[in-house]
Amino acid sequence: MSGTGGPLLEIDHLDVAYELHGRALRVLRDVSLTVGRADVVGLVGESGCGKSTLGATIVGLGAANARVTGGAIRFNGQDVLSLDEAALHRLRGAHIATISQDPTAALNPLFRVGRQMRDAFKAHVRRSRSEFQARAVRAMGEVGIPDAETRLRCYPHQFSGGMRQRLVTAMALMLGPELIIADEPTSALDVTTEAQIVELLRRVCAEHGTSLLYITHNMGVVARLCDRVAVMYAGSIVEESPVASLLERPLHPYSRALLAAVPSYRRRGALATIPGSVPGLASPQPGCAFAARCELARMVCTTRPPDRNAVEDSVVRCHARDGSLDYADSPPVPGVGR
Amino acid sequence: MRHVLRRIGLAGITVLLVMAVLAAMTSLVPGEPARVILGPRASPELIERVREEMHLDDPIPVQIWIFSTNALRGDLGKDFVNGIPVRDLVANALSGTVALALASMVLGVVFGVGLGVISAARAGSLFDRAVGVFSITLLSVPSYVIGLLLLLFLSVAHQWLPASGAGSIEDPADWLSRLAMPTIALAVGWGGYLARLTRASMLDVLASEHVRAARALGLPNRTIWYRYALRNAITPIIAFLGVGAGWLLSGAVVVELIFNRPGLGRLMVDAVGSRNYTIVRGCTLVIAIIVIAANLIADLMLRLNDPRIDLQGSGRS
Repeated sequence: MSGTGGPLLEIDHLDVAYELHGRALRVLRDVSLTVGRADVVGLVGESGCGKSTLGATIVGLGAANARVTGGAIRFNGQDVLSLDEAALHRLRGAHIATISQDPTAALNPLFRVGRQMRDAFKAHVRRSRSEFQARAVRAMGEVGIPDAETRLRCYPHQFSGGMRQRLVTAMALMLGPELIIADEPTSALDVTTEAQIVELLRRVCAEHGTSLLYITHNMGVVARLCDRVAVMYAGSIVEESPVASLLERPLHPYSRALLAAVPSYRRRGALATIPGSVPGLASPQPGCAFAARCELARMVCTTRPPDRNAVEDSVVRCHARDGSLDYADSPPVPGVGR
Repeated sequence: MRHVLRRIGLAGITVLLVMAVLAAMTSLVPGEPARVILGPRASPELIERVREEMHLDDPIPVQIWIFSTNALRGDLGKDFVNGIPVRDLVANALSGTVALALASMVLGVVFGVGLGVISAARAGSLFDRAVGVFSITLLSVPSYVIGLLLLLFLSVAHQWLPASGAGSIEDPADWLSRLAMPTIALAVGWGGYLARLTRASMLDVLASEHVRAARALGLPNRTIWYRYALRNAITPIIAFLGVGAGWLLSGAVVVELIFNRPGLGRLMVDAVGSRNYTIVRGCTLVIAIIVIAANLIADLMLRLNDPRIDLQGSGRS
């Protein structure tokens, strides 16, 4: 795939629906997100908000009943959604690598890791066995797996959890992808190991100039790792900001509530929670999806979905931030919020 | 390696237990054992011979000891009626039954696993649903009904295949033509079951995270299917083959009767009819040993297939 001047990954007004019992449940609504070359972008949100669906859709590995109902995904300027199966196979692994949640489940337990790595290598590169050996050993060295030549002959169960995640990372790196999509890669690991893996990803992406889309619900990791962060709520990206500005002054009320719910050693006592719950997919709201839980909500929020608005370096979807008079003139919603 | 030896030892102990149960069985039924065995109309001389032959006057532990040590030396006692060693009778009958069971196993595995894999590949398609209905049908029709239908169609109506007997291996074409129908009759239900099992197991594996991960690495579909997923999916199939050996052998008994093939089934049914207890006992022991061996082989194959099993067995994780 030849490089063009534009951004590496462009997601443009993407709509995805799950077909269930003849009904279409909209899981992604008008999602737009850009990942530049060597960019590290965080994608945060609660469970079920659509972050993993977005990650899977980019490489064409969405659920069997998922349908893209609108929008576009461009990688290196090429429309990913129109690629045929063979082209998608060439794209996956070689250009976009995916690191999934559970490294234990991501490795086939019945095959030696060397064999699994070699099959992935052979799928993309017509090279000799010695070339593979050299690349695999180098990738394993880079992620900090000592004694790589011996370890290639081991089975996945002979590695510890942290080592398995390093291994999966090495498999992703081996083929030199331009983009790595990491879907909560540390949620199965303990905190110390998590910190090591996050640092590892940060380092290897910086060294290779690889872009990283890091899907997580952990704001602490985002703060350490990412340049920009997109906050998802109920299938929409409600705010996209540089990390520092999001942490210091979150624009969207949901971002603010999410940050308030992050535990800190400075604060004692009960953590802040967000009242109410995520709206179900089956009963979509006509207005802003967060309106029912939002302390700033007014009538306009419950009737019309907010548009994307650029505020300084950020993009936010909120009536309260769009500066128009609609919000200012709108009466408060009775009995909602606080 | 230690686990393999332990597993083999376990199989040996199971064989010894089967021997003990078979030896003690006669004495466990109430009344005069020889009379129970031979029935009310047996002559006093025959009863006397059986009492002596089977050491029925000795205490049960002695009977078990004598039967087991003899069996281990290959001596299964003598036919009550004409004094032929049971070992020779069983050995003659065994080859026909084993040929039938093995041929059915191979046929069932080839068709069952093949159809199962293709069904899983096209889950939800017309082909998949047709195979589903077809295999459930085959599964629910007893092998003797299939056997009779085959006989009626292929031998009676068309005379394409010989209806009975086993022929001799010296004439391979004739031998195979006589093996064909019994094999199909026996394999059909087994193959139907394997098709269902394979499909379910395959779908299970294809939904797993490591298959997704392999896709995300851009591996070609055929590698994912036939190299990765199939080897994961084969585990319950191998386990079933071990247990299914017993199913095949008991099925073979019925099928042998229908096609009038000499074999263990024929031998056992005749022996039961004439209350020839030593023969029944010898056949039962041989069948038990085959089933135990099949399970042992299945276990060792699972071990070869899955490197984690050794660890699980020893309590480490």
